[in-house]
Amino acid sequence: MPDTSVDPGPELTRLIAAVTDVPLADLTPDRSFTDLAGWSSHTALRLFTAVEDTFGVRLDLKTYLTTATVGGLAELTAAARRPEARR
Amino acid sequence: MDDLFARVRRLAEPGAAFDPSLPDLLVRTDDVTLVREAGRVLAGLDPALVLPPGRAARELRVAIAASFTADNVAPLLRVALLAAGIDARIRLTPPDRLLAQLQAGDSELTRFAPDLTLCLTDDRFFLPDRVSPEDLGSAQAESAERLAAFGDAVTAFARHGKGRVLLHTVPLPAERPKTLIAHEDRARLGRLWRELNLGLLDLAEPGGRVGVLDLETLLASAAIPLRDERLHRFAGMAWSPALEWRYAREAAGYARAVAGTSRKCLVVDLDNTLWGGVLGDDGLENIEVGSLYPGNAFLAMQRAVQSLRRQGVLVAVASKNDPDLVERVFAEHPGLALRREDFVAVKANWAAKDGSLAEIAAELNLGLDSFVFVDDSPFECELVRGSLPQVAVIRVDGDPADHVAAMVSGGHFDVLATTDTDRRRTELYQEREQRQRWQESRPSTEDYLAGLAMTVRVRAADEYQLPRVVQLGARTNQFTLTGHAHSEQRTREMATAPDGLVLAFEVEDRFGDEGVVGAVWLTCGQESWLIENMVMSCRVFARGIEFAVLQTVAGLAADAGAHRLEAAFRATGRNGPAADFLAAAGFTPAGDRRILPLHPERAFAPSWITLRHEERTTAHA
Repeated sequence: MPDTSVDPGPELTRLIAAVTDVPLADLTPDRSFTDLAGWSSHTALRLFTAVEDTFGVRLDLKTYLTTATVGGLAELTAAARRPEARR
Repeated sequence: MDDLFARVRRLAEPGAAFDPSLPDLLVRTDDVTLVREAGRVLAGLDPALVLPPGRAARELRVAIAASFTADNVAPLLRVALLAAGIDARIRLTPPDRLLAQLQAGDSELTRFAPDLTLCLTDDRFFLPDRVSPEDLGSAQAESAERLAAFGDAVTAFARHGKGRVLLHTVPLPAERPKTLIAHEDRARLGRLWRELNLGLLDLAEPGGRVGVLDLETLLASAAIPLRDERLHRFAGMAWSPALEWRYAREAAGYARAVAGTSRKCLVVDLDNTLWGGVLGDDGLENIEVGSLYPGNAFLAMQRAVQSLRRQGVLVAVASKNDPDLVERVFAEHPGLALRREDFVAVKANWAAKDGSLAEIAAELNLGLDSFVFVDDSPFECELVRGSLPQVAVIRVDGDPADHVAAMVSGGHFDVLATTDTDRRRTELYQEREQRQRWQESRPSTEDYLAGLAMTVRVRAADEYQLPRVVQLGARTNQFTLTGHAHSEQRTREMATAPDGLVLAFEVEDRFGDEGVVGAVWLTCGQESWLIENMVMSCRVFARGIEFAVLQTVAGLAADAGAHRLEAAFRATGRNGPAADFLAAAGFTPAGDRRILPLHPERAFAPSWITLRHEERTTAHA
């Protein structure tokens, strides 16, 4: 069950690390996804479903595909988790 | 996901400790992201890290040939297969040319030579978007044509490969009938779709190498979305992650049947598992089983257990209970579906259940990795999980109405087909127990064996014996020379080839006829005969039967002018009895073979066995 009172920061970072095999320390907010070793469109989609399923949110796919950095994804995820974004 | 994923990650560290309970924990979670990422990590690791100690994984080459983007199925499948004791080499073929991959004799898929090909298709493969939904005549023609082409491709693929193919029925997304406004038209589309699925189901022939998973029915009672339309449109993914995971687990059940890692014995608790209440506290007349809830849920559970028993699963009881009371309830209670004779063993006592399970395994001469244990108590489940990691443990907690689904959903007992022996299996084991009791009353082992008055019949396997021979090849773990199961097709080829021979052997004694208990696959050369494999049921160990069979094989080979027998041998970690047999018979190692000269002639058959070799029966006989 998603818990909206928790800041997605560390949890999201761990999730990105699991999906991309990149060490946690390397995943700074300004880090660009396309610079990550082994990043591909396939990785991008795995991360997309992982974030949606883990946080129980629905992201806008078009916006997601233009999100370039770890910080950008944190922002997108946080916005989707706010109560007004929920159906 | 964090705790379990941390355990998976730990396995990748140097000198990692074994974690045999991990695959089972993963296979029970619905956190698809966790399983998918775990599966990716596990792909690069030694499977021995997550298997019970001393158990070698069955290796299997598995191809995923899909009409849509199914990349994410591979890691999920890896986890489900590891939980089924299978170390898979998985190959995914590109999604756009499924028919060509199947049809061409030199395609990437064919060259991979898979033992099992999972063929994944979606509704658009049979009914493309360009067909106007309201034009049902065209839709009918198009889907029929595509089904025929698919059927031809699958048949061609099955012909030039050696492995098995698993197809599935295809669910129709609700949006497709809903775009039709006439209810009549929706019903016609429904009919058209069922015809397509019937056609797919018909592609499986009894004894053939094509199987069909009824995915449509599996989805009917599961809260699983068919797909995420965004990912379908963007990336061609036709299945939702939840469906991919559901499918992977079902396909693993089929793979288990193909690889012969299916489980054989179900051990059940009694109180609050087979009936409601506690027999010792509530009394025989007050336990809950009967026509009203919750008794009817427990009755359904008993019927399901009995049905498994009738299909060849051995059923035993491990219960903390008064043994006399348990005997009485099975003899006297009018509401029970199960009776004492449904069980091969009843352990009703106050001892720890891991001990009871080990006793049952020893009595039946089965490995603990053939066992499934079902109990409602968290304590008992954890105890068995901790001390016997080879046993599959199923906890039936919560409402008894869900017990049956919990017991069967893991597919632990999946087989490709059942045989006559399966229907008689419990009876055969009960005869075995009588034999053992009688043995205890005899002064010596020789006296016991002589008193059994055993007859061993060996003959070229006929049409009636072949299914059982193939099954024995697949389910035998202990007395098998190689652990490699000859497929039904290969067995049939060898049985009819001029230089091939498949011998089946049967045994009968004072307690009854055991039917076919083993088989030998032979390639008969001029100089030497090669035993490609020999298997024997663990039910009939320690009676010298294998030596009587060797006598027949040696005699046939010598008569044909051969000078030696060669036996293929591969240690599997479980087949010690077969290795001991080869050594005791005088086979000596030479490379990956074992060799036995046929001259001078030797007597192998023990004196207490009457040996009959029956000539090959011809079609005209």
